[in-house]
Amino acid sequence: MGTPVDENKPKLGLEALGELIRLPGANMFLTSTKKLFSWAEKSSLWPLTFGLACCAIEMMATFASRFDLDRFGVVTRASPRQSDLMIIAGTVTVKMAERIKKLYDQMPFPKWVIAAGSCAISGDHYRHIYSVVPGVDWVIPVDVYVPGCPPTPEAFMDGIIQLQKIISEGNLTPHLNIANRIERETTKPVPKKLVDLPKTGNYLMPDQLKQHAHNLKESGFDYLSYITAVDYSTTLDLVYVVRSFEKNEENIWKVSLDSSNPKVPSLAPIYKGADWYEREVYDLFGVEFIGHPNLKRILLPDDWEGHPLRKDYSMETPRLPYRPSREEYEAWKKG
Amino acid sequence: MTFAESVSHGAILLGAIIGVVTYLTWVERKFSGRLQSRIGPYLVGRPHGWLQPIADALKLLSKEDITPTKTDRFLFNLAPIWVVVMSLLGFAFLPLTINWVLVNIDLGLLYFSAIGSLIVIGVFIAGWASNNKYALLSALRAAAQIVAYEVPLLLSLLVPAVLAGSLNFQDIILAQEKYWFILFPVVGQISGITFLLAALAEGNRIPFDLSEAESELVAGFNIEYSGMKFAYFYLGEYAHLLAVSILVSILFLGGPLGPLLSGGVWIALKTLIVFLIVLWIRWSFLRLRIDQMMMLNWKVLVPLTLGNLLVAGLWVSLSR
Repeated sequence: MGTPVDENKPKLGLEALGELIRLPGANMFLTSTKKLFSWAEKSSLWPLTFGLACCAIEMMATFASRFDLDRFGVVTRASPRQSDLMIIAGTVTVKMAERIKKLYDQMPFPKWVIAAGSCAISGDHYRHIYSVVPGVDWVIPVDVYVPGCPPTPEAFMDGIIQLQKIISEGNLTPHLNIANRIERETTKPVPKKLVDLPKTGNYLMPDQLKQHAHNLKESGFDYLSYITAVDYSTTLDLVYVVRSFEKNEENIWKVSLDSSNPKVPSLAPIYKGADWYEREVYDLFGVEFIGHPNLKRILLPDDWEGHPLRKDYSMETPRLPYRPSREEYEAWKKG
Repeated sequence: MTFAESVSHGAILLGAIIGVVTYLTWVERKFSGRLQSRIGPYLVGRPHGWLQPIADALKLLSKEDITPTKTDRFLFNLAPIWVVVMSLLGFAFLPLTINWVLVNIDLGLLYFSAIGSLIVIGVFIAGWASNNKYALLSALRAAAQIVAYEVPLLLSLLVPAVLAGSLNFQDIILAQEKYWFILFPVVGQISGITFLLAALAEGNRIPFDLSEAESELVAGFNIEYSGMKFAYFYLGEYAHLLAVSILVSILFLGGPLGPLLSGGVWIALKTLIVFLIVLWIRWSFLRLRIDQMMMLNWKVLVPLTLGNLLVAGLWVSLSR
């Protein structure tokens, strides 16, 4: 169970036991036992409580009153050790791919995977983004694909029924993407383009920043809405937005930095909320915030190279998630 | 009873309990489905998914049995067995009709509660041996919770014993011939309700299922258990719940006593009603926070049950 039968390999399943016993009717009995167990497996599929993005919302609706997957005997389990089915509902990011692989490995055999939604199937329109895996079958083998963006509850239920058919027929051919050519070679580094976007607003020098923020906080602007950055190729401009709830006013200012070596004092000692925003700007633009308590990546994996929202970020060597080699795949297929 | 009779009766009881417990999961799923305006199990065995528990059990039987490498192997495998054995042992003392009880001893109530409180050791072993932070946290919570709720549980259990003047289950049942203890003014109702609450806490049911809080602890103490070992925990939990339901029907609802129908039918009906009340609570209420739960125990339930026991004692001694 769980793997397709390979003729060259010594059989270790129930058929082998039947050949071993050599009693009249033994094989028939064992075959019907196998049928019984595969009926039990398809009738009691317990998926992992696990959702990645918007498809998960649709999946939850499928579990709820109007559609009710419990009719098929499908109830969720929170622990991967107790679940049989993993429904990948949503966009698979590179950072999540490692977790998916780990959770999949923690599930006991026999186990199945449904890739629900176009992002889980192929990455859809996010497939060329630096942080997205183009389909979950690069990470784990998939049994059933449920198309849709997101799939409707009816499609989810159809996916479950298809999986039940696969289990009862016993011809498992889970699909793992073993394409040798990485499709992302079409993504070329973005050519440097000097653009003259109009620069307007209240520009400050980096050394004025702390004093300015301090004054504003004293005068009642106690909420830091966000910090973000714009890459103008030659310069990298930070945008700070603070807000006062008492006065119902917003104050925006900007800091222009040298794009090749952006450094700026951190506002984390003044505004506590700056901690995460500065980490995000560091993660995606590579701006170094001097005096930040914990300046490391927040969205991307810690060992990521480069800062992807910068214009000079190269997509030539995209980071791929764990992907089994052809040998590993063949070995897995044989069981 | 002779030895052979005891063994055969025990075997019959064991089989019956496991069968009933298996189908209690089906009852729970159908009941929760109706409460959430769903249908519940339907397609596995027409009509109404009556084969669902069988399919679940067979599937769990055929799953890969994982023992993670960094666990304490002996304790890891001991825990599910411990939980099941301790849950099932309690049934030996429960009379299922007035005369039919496997082990009839004078201290039946005391034995039952003593064995019931041993389940937590299995839960704690499971959490400790799993070598998993969620399992350990859950086990710590379960231990704190069950040790705390043991106090109001026993104090409210003692009220029927005081009213009947005995710790023997048969004497307690026979003392309810005039009226059930739940109908005893004020005292009976307080002890009945506090007992049900404390029993919910001991059985890790909502609103006291902090040791299985999915939003905090993933799956609780049984997080590392797969296949049949997990099924043992499930079996233990439901068997304990069934035992508690039977106990409520014996102590407060007159057990097998009732007109027209035979004793066995009455106790089954009363147990089913108590079990459905427990399910009703489970699928209607939210989970308490750990400090709220402890506060409810030490500041409300313990003084209440203590005062209640005092009043019951005074009543009995004055009315003599």
